[in-house]
Amino acid sequence: MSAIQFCNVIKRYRRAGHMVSVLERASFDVPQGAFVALTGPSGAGKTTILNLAGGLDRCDSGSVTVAGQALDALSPERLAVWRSRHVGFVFQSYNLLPMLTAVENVELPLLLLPGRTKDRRTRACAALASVGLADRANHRPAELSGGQQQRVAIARAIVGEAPLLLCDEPTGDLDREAADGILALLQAANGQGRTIVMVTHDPRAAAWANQVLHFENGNPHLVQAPA
Amino acid sequence: MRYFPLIRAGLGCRPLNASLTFVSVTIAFLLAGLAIGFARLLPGGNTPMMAAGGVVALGFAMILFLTGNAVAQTVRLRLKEFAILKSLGFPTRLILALVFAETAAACLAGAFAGLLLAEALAAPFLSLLPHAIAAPRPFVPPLVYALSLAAAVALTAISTMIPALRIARLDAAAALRGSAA
Repeated sequence: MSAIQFCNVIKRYRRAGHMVSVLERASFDVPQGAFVALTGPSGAGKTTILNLAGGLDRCDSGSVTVAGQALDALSPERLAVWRSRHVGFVFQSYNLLPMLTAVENVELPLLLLPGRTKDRRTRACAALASVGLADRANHRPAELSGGQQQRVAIARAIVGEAPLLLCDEPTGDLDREAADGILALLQAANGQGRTIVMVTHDPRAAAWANQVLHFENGNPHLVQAPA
Repeated sequence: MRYFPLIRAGLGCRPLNASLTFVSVTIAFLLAGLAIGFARLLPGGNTPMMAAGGVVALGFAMILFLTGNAVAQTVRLRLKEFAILKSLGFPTRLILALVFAETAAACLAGAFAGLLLAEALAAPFLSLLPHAIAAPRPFVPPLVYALSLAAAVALTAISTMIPALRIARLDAAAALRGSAA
């Protein structure tokens, strides 16, 4: 079964009064449990793919189906609920809320799920421990390094047991050592059965994936098949 | 209680704006409390109360302008935070409820602080009059407290209306890219 299915997807944006085509009838599948790297030049549509797969954006035509759910069929409010249960995002700039502590940031997705305060806190602490930051639970993002902030972001993405992780340049702002640590965490999350789609410009990061889709002119080409 | 850390963080992330709202609402309700309290003591039937009501309405309009601006600015500066919440699956109506709760906290606290201050300052003001009048207890009638609660909620609702539209229309993908209007 496909985790993500794009079928003849067209996406255009208006830029300075002109329509710019980002995706032109893009069609591809991401199998369940895969770790896929999306590569390609800037503006090729990689981040657009993540936004469409995560329901943050809608395509102009074609269809996007994630875990059997056609996203176009959902209203914005139902799409938000669906996203809270099925998708975890990891961004290049971490996107943690600066006034919340690490554990409060990790707890955010759990606020949308049923459960008691104590249970939520326990799960958030366990997720932080799984990324090696148990001792930083009460630190604010400004008190953490870039690599640690990205670890918190990964803990936030996995705490709700979302089966799909969408990562936009997760190692883009990190040095090599921190980047390898993040990629190892993503690989571990993949080993637990999660599907991971990661946008990257870095060939070293892409090498951690088991499938590489290269985007050029709004269309993907498989450049590295599963081993 | 579930969303308390988010409301606390919302108030804390722009403390100047939250303080501005609190202080301006406090001053407005202090003046309103004093105006109505003194009008009650004056002879002349309903005329002084009507005049006081007019002053209070004018103050309310001015405070609405200040609070509305503060909320609009806070929301404008926090669009990326709201986009992050949307990316985590927070429905728009929940984000709007959080913004409403943050604003209501500052407005309600300001309203009651203003009325309590009016209560405390009534006696010193009355002692300045040539013919001393004993301040009635309570100086501000209980009905005014009830109306102030309604006024603070109305103030919150009106000042969050336009920022709410902005949040509802927020394109989370664009805001996360840093290109949201």
